[in-house]
Amino acid sequence: MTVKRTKPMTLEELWDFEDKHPVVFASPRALAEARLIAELNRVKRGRRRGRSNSTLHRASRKLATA
Amino acid sequence: MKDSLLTADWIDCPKCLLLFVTEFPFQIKVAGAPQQATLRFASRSELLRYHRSLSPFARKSSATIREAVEFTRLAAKRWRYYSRSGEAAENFAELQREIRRNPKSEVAFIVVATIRQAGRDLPVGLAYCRRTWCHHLALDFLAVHPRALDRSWRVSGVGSGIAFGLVRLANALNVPRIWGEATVNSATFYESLLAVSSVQDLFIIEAAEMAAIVKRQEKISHPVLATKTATELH
Repeated sequence: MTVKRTKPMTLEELWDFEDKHPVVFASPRALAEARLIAELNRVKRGRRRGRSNSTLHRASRKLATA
Repeated sequence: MKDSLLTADWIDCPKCLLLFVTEFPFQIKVAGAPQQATLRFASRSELLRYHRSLSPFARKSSATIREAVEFTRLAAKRWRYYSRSGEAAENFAELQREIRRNPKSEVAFIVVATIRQAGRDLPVGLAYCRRTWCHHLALDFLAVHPRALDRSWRVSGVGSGIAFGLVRLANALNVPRIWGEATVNSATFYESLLAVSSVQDLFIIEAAEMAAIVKRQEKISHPVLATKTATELH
């Protein structure tokens, strides 16, 4: 692939450009993977919470029947 | 001096080992005045602090600010995920160690840009990178801190400054290429940064582009902004 060069911007010009075009970028593949990781964490946390809740319920049920 | 940074010899020197590449200073503009910002590796605690600093911005109406919050949170989660399996670095020395242990290893790291204000380091942006198996740097996330996107604070140049810091890091690691996926939003930024006419799916920063990025920053940088490593190795 040939790359066509353009006139380089000065730092001040680049700063002006950044003012108008905020730098908030993510690679689509990295973003998809990160979202998957976040979702996995959420599910794991939910399961852990569920398990600890049911332990509590069982314990309180035992206490109630004793 | 530059040659010594470009070769890995100094890394094997015990004296030089103490002078880890810890910080990469660059110039930005805050409220119309030039100010020094610093790029450095994010440790777990630094990431946590950065994460906490996002909360006030999570419900802002601006889509860009919300995106900055989302991307940063996701990048931190991804870093923690890789950190659990020992595939993430918290500093330059750790990254070097991992590369030496396994030259084909993939290592993730986050670098945070901060500025010093009222005796405190305020984060202004971050980048999530991977050192790939073939010794390149892949840039996965590049996001300015929501605070720096606030029009009232008037901060300029964080994105290009982080790119400059990454070039410095690539030089220190002897990495010949930084690359990443471009999107419809980022393509024009990389076109401007690299002075090329059409960035499509990928952007690639190699020797020529690295030299241009460094030259551009150095034109404005004061001598005190020379990197810590550069100063100490003299």
